[in-house]
Amino acid sequence: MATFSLSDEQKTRLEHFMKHRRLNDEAVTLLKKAKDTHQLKSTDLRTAKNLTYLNVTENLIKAVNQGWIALADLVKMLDDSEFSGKQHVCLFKLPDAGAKKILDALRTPSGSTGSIPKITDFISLPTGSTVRILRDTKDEVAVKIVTRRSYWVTNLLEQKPDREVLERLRHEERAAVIVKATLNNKMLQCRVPPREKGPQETGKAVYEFLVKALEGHYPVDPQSWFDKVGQFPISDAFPKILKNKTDFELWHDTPEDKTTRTRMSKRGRPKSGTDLRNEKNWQFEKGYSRTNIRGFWKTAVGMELYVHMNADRVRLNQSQTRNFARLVVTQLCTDGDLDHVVDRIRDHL
Amino acid sequence: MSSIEYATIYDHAAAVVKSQCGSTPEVSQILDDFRRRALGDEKDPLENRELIIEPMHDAQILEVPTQLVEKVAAELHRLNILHIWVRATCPANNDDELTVIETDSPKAFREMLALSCPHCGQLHEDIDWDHLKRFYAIHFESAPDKFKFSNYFRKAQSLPSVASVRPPLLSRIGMWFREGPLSRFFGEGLSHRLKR
Repeated sequence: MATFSLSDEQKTRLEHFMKHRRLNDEAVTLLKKAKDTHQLKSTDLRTAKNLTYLNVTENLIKAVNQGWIALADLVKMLDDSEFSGKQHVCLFKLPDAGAKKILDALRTPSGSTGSIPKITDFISLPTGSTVRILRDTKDEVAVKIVTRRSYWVTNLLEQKPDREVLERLRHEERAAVIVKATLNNKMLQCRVPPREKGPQETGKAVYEFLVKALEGHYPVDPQSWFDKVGQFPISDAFPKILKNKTDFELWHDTPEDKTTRTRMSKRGRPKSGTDLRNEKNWQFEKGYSRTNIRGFWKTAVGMELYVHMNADRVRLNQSQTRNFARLVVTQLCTDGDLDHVVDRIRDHL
Repeated sequence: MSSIEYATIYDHAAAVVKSQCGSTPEVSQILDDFRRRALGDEKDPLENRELIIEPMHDAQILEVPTQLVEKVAAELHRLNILHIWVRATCPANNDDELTVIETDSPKAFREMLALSCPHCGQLHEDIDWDHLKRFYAIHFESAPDKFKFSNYFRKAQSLPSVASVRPPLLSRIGMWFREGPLSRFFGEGLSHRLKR
């Protein structure tokens, strides 16, 4: 049995990865399965739900070293976690004619092709950009682009009444972009993970990183398939979504009319069960428009997914702009849950 | 121009738009809504904000597709019923999109950006394109006196922009002499002395 030993830096990277991808539940499930299979005691392997990410990481390393968990299972958990959830999901519409050509284009990336993932991929920074086809069926293609993302983070070092000392650090991280095209609903989903540090990104920052990740493996010029995918008019769905009280709960609203603009949100951490539309001060059903709403979608299996729905507009140059829909999913979810939300939004068009 | 004259011009333009976009109930709904808004008493879009047309927002209120409103608005723009306006938002407040100016006049645009911002107090002369948004407004001053099909083929309206509003060098030198320290020194000082 090969020993699975990690340096302190690698251990920290694995812990950060688990924390960033919110992998506590999945990791504890994996540990519990190992504990049951090998009939271990609580002192051998800790599986409490309230374990810190440091403890979870240490227990996972121990379990792999003892042979209780296969390293391949751990890698699969890490790899799968990058597929859906805790992402910005940029939505585009595949054209009626030529959708198959776009799937074909996705099937033939250029540049470095990724191999089967290894544990080192998740505990070290990628040196370049790699692409791997995850799914390839007649009606669906999904690819994963793993690249390095680099940006500045500002920290306040010292604050006095007449003096502030700031430092700007270059932060580098692994980022996995998922591009998924489906013929059945004629949708292209580009899933971009949020930055690990710094303030929340704008639609423009997400779009720019998406284009940067894509251009390493696909053409993104005005003649390319990426320019042929159309706008998904999410704003047209907003009025109907606001009428839906069956499987949607509103948490945050940005109603505006010709003279006024306002924001209205429930207070506290988002939780399902309290709908903003039931508040007496919410009277924005008719005569108002919005560029984003946030709320809970109830999925078919009884799960609730908190989603930001944004109608974004990015200026590409002086004369060109691009409209696209952007969902922000703040928690891990299955691919099916995410597809369900996208389909439900489509149903409201 | 009286409201009756304007209504006739609008109805002619609406008929052309229907021929281009299809005479569907949704197109009629959009055109009727614009007509109702255009026939209000106040003709300044800055005062009567009903005259401002933003396809994404209007589409939601009318519950029709945004692309259709964009198409109808583009046709009305070609017929000179709608004018393209620009809205500059304060770059210091990215989240709130606070408006610095809304105009279709390059001169007003230039003048306002040369003043300190009403929201943050800074000068935004180097404002970038990310903080400029285009929208349409029903603009009576430039509406045709009578409906002409030739309007449909006219040259597209040029947009106010940072590049287009910058006056040529000689004009800027002239402006500097008129508005600069020399005029302040001689003009105001002299006029004060003359008043006494």
